[in-house]
Amino acid sequence: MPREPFQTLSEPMYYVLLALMNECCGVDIMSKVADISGGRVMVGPGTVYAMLDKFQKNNIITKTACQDRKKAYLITEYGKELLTAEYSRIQILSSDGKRILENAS
Amino acid sequence: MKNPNELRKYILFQLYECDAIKEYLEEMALKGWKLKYIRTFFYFEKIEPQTLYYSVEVFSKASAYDTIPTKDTNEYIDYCRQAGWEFVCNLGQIIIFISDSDNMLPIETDEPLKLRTINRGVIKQNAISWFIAFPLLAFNLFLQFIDFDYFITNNLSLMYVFFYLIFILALVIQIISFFIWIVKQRSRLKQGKAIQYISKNSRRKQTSLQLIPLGIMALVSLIVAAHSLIDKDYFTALLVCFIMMLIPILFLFSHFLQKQGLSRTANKIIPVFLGIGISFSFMIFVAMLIFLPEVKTPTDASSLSSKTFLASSTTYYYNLEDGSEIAVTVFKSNYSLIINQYLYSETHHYFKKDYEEIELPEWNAKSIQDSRGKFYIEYDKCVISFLSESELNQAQIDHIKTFMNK
Repeated sequence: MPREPFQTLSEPMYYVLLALMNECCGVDIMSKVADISGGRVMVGPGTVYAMLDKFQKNNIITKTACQDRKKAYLITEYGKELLTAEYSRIQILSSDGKRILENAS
Repeated sequence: MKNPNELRKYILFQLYECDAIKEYLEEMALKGWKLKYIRTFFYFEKIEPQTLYYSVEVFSKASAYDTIPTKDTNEYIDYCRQAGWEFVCNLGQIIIFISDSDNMLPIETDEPLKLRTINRGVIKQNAISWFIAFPLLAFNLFLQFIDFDYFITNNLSLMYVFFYLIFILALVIQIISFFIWIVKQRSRLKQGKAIQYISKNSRRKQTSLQLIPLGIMALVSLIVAAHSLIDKDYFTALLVCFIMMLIPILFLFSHFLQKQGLSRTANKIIPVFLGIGISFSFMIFVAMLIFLPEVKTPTDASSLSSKTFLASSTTYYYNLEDGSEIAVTVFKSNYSLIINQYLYSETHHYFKKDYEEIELPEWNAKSIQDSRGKFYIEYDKCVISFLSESELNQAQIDHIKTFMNK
C-alpha cells in the first residue's frame, strides 16, 4: 500500500523546514528550531540528522555547501510547496476552531 | 587482571536492547567505572563513583563491520556534540554518548523514527545470519536425513546435527523475539504510548540462557571426543578438538581484528579469506578421515561397523558358491522411529516409493526389494540388506541371523 510521504508534516518536521527557509548549517538547525518556536519545540540531534537525510532523499531540501565536514541545507521549491500547503492546512484548522469555539463561549 | 584501574566485561547484545546497555552503563558509573571503549569487550576505567548519563544510539548508516567512525558517523557525532553530548565510542552500528548533566535533550526525540532506525539496524546487522546462514543450516540438516544410514550410525554427524539444531533453534528464537518486540512496539506507538525497551534484568536472564546451549555443545563435544578415543578413532577425536578450538580461535581473532581499527572493507574481506582458509583445512582434515581408515581396514576380520547410542550398522562379507562376494548390512536400532526412517531413506528416491514387496520365506520376515535389486529384510529392531543375484545358502542365513541379537 504505497502512501504519499509527507502528506502532513509532523510538528518537528514543520519547524525544521521553517528553519531551512534560509540556508542553514545542519548542526545549527536544532538551536534555530528552538529559537523559532521560542523553546517550545526541541528536536534531538539524531532525529534532525535522520530528518535531513530523508528530506534530501525526497528532494524537499538540498545541500548547498560542504566545508570541512559541515554541510549546509536549503529548502527546495517542492519543499516550499509542501510547507505552504501545511501552513494553509494549519490556518484552516485554526479558523475552523476559532469559528466554533468562540461562538460556543 | 593486569591493571587495577581497568575493567573488562564481555556483553553480548542485540541492537534493540540498547536501552538496557544504557541502564547498565549508568549503573557502572555509580559503581565508579566509566566506559572507555568497546573492542569485543567493554573496557571501563576507574573514576570517582558518580551519576553519569549515557545515550546508546543505533546509527543505521553505519555497518556492523565498522570499528572506526566513517564519514557519515562523524557527521552524526558532530550533530550530537552540538547538542552537548560527548562521544565515547562506536562499534558497528552502536554509537555511545555520555553527559554529566541530567538536563540533556535526548538524541532521538521522534519515537516512530527511532523504532524504524532500530528495526532497520537489527535487520541489517543480522542479514547474514538470518538470510544466508539459516537456510544453509536448514539445508545441511536436510542433507543429513538423505544419507540417514551414515548419519545415524556416526557419532560425528550426530554431533553436527545436534549443533545445527541448537543453532537453528537459537536463530528461530532470536528472530521470533525480535519480531514480537517490533509488533508490540508498533501497536504501542499507535496507542500513543512510548516504546518499551528490554530492561537490564530480563536481558541478563537472556544472556545466561544463551550460555546454556554453549555449555551443552561443549559437553557433547567432549563426550564425542572421549568416546572416539576409547574406540581408538583418533581422527574423529582430532576433528572434534579442531572444531572445539575453532570457537575460541574465532573469538580471539575477531577481538584482534577489532583492536586493529581497520576500515569497513578490510573488516569485511579478512573474515571471508579466513573462512575460506578454515573450510579448506577442514576439508583436508575430513579427506584424511575418509581415506586413512581404508588403509587401516583389517584384512582378516570380515566386517565393517559403525555405531552410536541410537543405532549401529555392520557390514559382513560372505563368499557365495559361484565365487562372488556379497556384502550383508545389518542395521540395528532399539527405536522403531529410526528403523522406519532408515527404511524410508533407503527405499525412497526423491520422496517417491521405489520398491516392491516380495516373498523370501527362508528369512521369515517382511521383505522388500528396491529398483536397484537390493533386498531389505525387516525385523523388529533390525534391518538386513544385501545386493545379490544369486542366493545365500541356509547356513549363511542362519549365521547372519545370529548377528541380529548381538
